[in-house]
Amino acid sequence: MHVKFYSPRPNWQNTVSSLGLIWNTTNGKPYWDESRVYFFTEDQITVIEEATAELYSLFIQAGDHIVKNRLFGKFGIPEFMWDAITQSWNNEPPALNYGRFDLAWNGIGAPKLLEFNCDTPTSLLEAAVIQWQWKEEVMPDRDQFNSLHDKLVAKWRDIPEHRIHFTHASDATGEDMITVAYLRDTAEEAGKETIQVPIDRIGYDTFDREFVSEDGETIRALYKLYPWEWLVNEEFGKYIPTATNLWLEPVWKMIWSNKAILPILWELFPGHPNLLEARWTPYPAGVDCVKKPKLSREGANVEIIRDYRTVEKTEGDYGDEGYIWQELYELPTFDGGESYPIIGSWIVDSSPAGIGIREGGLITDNKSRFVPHVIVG
Amino acid sequence: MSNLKLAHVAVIAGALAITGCSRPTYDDWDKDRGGDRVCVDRQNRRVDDKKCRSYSNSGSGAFMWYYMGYNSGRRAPGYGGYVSGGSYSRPAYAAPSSTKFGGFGSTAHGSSTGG
Repeated sequence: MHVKFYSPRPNWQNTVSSLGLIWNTTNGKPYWDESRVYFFTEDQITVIEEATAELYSLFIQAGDHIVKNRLFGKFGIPEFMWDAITQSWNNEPPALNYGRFDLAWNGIGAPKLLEFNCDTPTSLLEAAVIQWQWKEEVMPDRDQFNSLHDKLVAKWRDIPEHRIHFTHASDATGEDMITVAYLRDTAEEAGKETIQVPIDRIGYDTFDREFVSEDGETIRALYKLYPWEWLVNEEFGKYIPTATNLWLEPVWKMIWSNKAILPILWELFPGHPNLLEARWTPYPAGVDCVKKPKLSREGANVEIIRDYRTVEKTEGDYGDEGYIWQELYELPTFDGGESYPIIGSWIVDSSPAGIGIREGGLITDNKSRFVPHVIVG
Repeated sequence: MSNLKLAHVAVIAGALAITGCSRPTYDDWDKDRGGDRVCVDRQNRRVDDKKCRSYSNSGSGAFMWYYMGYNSGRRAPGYGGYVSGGSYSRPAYAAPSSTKFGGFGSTAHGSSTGG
């Protein structure tokens, strides 16, 4: 695993924008950064692939443990949702069930899990389409760990519903809109009929106990790019347990996407090579660690504590739900500078599906760059 | 490692075309239900309404509501009969007073919800 430097393609912004990546630049700096490329050996890709499959297996076992012992209170999940989560977990309704494990790794030994983004995972278009198109144009003879698009299409084919509604909130950068549009493309490639409905235009019929679209059609199956913890705490949240529609991001993702699962994983599998120690309470003074809100997104409200002091901290709106503390992993840097890569390892159902690299400071946040990768030898 | 084909991105193209999009409006729905909908399969054959009410009872999952049309004079066929002339969308004028909107989305603050 190493990084090399290249000249970006002329008109790279137009190229990636035409494929949908309209948020390619942040504050005048590239978010999509093809001036840097990560190289992995085939053996290293195998290590990532196996770690991803192993972590998925651990999450299945942890989910069983959490549901069986009704540990939902540790996740800050409102009590009215507990039975719905239990039912959803046990009945396994059809689901898209994809996500991204964020791994810390220096190319040697075992990759370590930082967290699992499986409720509203983004950087999907970049990983599935943009970096592949870049590889095809710039390094066509190289390979890339990337079967994400094909696996999403195949997964849609497994879902019996034909007409599927898609929803998200409007966002200034267009990232959510395009991410959902891309997922609609994968669904349509699988033969599905897709319908867009803005999140604030979803209706609820109290007579039939079902959600409806803005033109009144019953929503039979819904994909949402909108956090579960937001949905359940909004006005219509109380209807979710009894609504008859199929959630293609199932409600049990409230446990997998919550960082409270990290200490539970460590309790169940102490010393596992792909896990970092995590706990419910602060470490004793002098122990280097990372303090994370249970529900934080995009690295918000994360604090790195080293040598008795806070060395990095991000702002945000999270933390009321409580925190967990995780052992500090010294992120590698491959350019001698202060660019630290995180490997986003995608999974579709139980199948590893490719990686995307985010590079940034010690805390990966919404300013971190997306950097393409290829495989050598 | 991959046999990925470049995404067709048809929907993305549409999304790009409407960036800064104008949202469609919907009428205030104030009419009574009218009882004009039936459950149909993918071949537009009428099936028991129960199949549309619960996903777990829907077998293949390929059932959906079909609106015959309020005051249209059309009559729903018996089970197994084909429906026609109506719509998968609930006609605005037939929307029930029991439907309300705007109960989701209040937490969003204009930035990406992704993680």
